[in-house]
Amino acid sequence: MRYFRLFILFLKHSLMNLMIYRSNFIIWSLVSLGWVVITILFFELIYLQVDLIGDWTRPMMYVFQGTYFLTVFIIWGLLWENMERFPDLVNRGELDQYLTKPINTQFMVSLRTIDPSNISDFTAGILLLGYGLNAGGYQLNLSQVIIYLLLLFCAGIYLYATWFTSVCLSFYTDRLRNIHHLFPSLRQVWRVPQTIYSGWLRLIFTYVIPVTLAATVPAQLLLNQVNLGNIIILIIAALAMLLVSHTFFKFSLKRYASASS
Amino acid sequence: MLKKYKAWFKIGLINAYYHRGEMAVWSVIHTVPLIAMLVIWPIIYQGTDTIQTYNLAEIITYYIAGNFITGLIQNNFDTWLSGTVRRGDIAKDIIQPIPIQPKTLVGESSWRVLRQIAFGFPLLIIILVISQQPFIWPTPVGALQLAVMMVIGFLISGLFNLFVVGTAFVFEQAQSLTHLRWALVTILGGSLIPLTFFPRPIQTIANLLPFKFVYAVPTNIWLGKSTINQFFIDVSLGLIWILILSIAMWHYWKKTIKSFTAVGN
Repeated sequence: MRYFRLFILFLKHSLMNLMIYRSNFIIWSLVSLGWVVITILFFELIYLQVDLIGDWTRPMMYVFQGTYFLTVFIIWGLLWENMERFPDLVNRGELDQYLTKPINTQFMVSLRTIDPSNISDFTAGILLLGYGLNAGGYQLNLSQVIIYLLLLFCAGIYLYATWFTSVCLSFYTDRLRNIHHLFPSLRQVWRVPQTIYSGWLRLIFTYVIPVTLAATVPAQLLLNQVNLGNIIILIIAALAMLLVSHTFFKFSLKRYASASS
Repeated sequence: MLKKYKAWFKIGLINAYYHRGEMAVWSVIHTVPLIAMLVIWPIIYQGTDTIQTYNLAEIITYYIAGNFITGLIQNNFDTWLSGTVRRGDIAKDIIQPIPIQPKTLVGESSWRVLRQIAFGFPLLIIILVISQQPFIWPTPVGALQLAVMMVIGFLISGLFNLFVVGTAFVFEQAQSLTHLRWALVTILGGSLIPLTFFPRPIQTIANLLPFKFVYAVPTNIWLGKSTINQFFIDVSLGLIWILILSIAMWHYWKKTIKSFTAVGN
């Protein structure tokens, strides 16, 4: 409860900051919208040529892309600014301000600043979902929606934990100032449904680095194509990576040296 | 004059070598989008041989070769150089006897050359071996044409970057223009999808604009899809664009730099 109240406080503070720099919010919202348009444009141009991409029809792909944009909104809105700042905090020895606080440091560094300027991802996600479900004639019930939201939450946890683990490499070298860009580049991988991958790529991105499940599993639920095995993998991966990220962070902190801030 | 740029190129190589860890990460980041493309396009081509004049081998080569080419010619210095302008650190570069614009382009070229030799080319070979997809290599004549067009593409890309940096003198969120630049190259440059996939009116607009020189034109030369006549037309158009953009950029910097103030550098 305490951490939830803190999260709400961080959100309020971030929104207040946003209102001071309103033009920044508008500009970056437009940038975010631009990238949404580009992603949709790619699939629209493909579907002008073919009816199916694998087993995915156009409405199904819209449901998938809608889910993808919701995962992007969760990750980028909540985490980008914090992950971008993290290597600098470590390399400049400024992590003290978080370490000395009487709350979980990982929570603090991960969620201190929230940036809702990628609200266009959220809007696009909802619109694409609605359009895809309607065009495909899919009917939803309440339990599906609840489980969908839970699966999105699991996907968010997994993606966060993997990203955070990768930025913790900042403790080991001061020459990788771009390490926080490495995990986000994998969004190009989970932008494509997991069922389209085959062979060893599918094995890697399902069992080793199951990023492809992030958008595929929730989308499949809405499309009445439940894959229980993938759901279990996603839940286990989320919990396991959260534990790994926390353990690795605590272990890496032993290498941290303050700069007396 | 050339000695200064040659020296600056060497300094750029030393600097790039010092940041080889970051360079390796950027190379991986640059290559990751290929994974999705190499997976999705064979699926799209199931049941069909040709889509919009590209067969499967050509479309796969389009993306792999395009990825390698843009690793060499697509500049991205506007992101960090805009930050340098906003902090006022650019003062020490402005007062040097080499103009900052050509100096930046020379430094960027050394970074990209080293990056592609050290990481880009090995990653290309790894992708070719792992993907086991058909791949088309350029002919010797095509390679020469490609070299010429890559220089043109590098200069055009650099000039767009310099426009964004020039804007940083007057606009705080100039880095948002970097995304605009990326978006224009992605759509109108052909890096999202070959330009022939777009409706005719968009193809006409894209063919007139300079963004295609950063991706579509060199990649089609690699594929052997550009005739000798088309090559000379593209070279002429590219040189005209370089001239227009250079003059426009020079005047733009003269105007915007008047807003710059440095504090005790």
